[in-house]
Amino acid sequence: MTHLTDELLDTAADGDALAPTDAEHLRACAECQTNVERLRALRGRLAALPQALPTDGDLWPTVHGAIRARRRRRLVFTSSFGLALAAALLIAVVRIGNGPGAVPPGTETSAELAELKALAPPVVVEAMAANLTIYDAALRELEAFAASERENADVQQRIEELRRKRAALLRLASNS
Amino acid sequence: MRRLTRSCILAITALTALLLAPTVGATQIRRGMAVDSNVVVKIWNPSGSLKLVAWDRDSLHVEGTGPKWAAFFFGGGRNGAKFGIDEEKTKGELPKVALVVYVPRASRVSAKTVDATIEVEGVSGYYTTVSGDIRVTGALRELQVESLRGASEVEVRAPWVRIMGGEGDVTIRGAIEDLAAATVAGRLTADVTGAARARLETMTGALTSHVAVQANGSIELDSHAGTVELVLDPNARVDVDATSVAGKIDNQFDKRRPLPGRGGKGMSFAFATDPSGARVVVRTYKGTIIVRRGA
Repeated sequence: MTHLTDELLDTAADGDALAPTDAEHLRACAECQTNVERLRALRGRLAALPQALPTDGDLWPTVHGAIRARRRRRLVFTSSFGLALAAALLIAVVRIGNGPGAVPPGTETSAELAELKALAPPVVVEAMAANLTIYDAALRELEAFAASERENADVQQRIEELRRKRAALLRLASNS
Repeated sequence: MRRLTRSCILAITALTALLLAPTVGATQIRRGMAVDSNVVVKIWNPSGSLKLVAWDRDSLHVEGTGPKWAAFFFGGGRNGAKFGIDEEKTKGELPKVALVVYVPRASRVSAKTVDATIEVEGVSGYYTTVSGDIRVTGALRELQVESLRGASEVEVRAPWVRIMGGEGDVTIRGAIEDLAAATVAGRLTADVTGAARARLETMTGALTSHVAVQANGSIELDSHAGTVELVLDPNARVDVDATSVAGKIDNQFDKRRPLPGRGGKGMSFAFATDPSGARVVVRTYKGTIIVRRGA
């Protein structure tokens, strides 16, 4: 019996429709069902993690205030809260250092493409570079719009969807 | 007379050489085996072409030609077979191989190529390529097509179809119950009947949807920056909700006017030819939405 691939398990965990044959297999296969449940549980735990800090605006006053508060209270860093705060501060400092946009444009894509180079032939990397450029330009555009219209839930939703589709495209390239 | 004979021999030699020329340095592939009617087949042909044909026999047959250095592998049993070009043995260079494969109609095929074109007649399966074009026709149980750069053309009768494209255009025709298709920059055109559910998306490519949807069905169209054209038949029973965050909406279907969005940005447009009709949702970020009548 051939079990579902990681990609199909991902799709099932997302709640997206599988091909009829794959759906039939999933209904009958306890092992694949367990894997889907594991993926869902993992996602639940990930979703419960603290959200990323905002990428725009001057974060230094917040960071500075947090540091001062930390000194005053002599917060023990080995506590989970201390670790979370330390991680958040580190991210904030790195982001402030890089200015708005958190990661310099294209850096993330370059890293992904470098990873892909090890897995896929040059023709795939070339095709992905063109497609990812379009996604990243759209994401930057949406993030800039979201920054000016914070209450616009539609745009936030579009950003999330775009990130999900971008990830799906990368998965497709890894399989090529 | 002697001169004539010599000329004849020369002519025959030249003709023979000419006829043999294409096969010099070429390898001929011809393999087959008995299989179950619902056999699962995996094919890997990186470059050249791949043609898949459904036939009403319980056997698998492969024919092909390619350069002599193309290493062909072939294996499997009654319920599963795997064959193609062994890339490891070709030292990085991709041999151009033309493969024609006959499989039982109820089989399920998974075929991958790099730049080879894929042509399918009536075979359900999963077809993926980096830059080759894909064309699928016939009646199928399910179909999944992926091409990062090539064009995809699908003309089928099928209950379930998924298509993912990158820069290449995607054209879909036929009768499809459950359809989802997306491109990045390629144009996406769907002219489909009998849909219970259709979801079409592009990033920057233009999108044209002429989908006849069932009464209780739904259509979702989405694009970031591409123009989205929703084509509705005059007698379509639909409940339409269209919104563009920063783009325009052009209603050519009737005389109603779309409304400007909050703060003057974007537009929205909602109307129903039948409030209990099929639900049609159109979303763009900055792409123009056009609603118009079909034939």
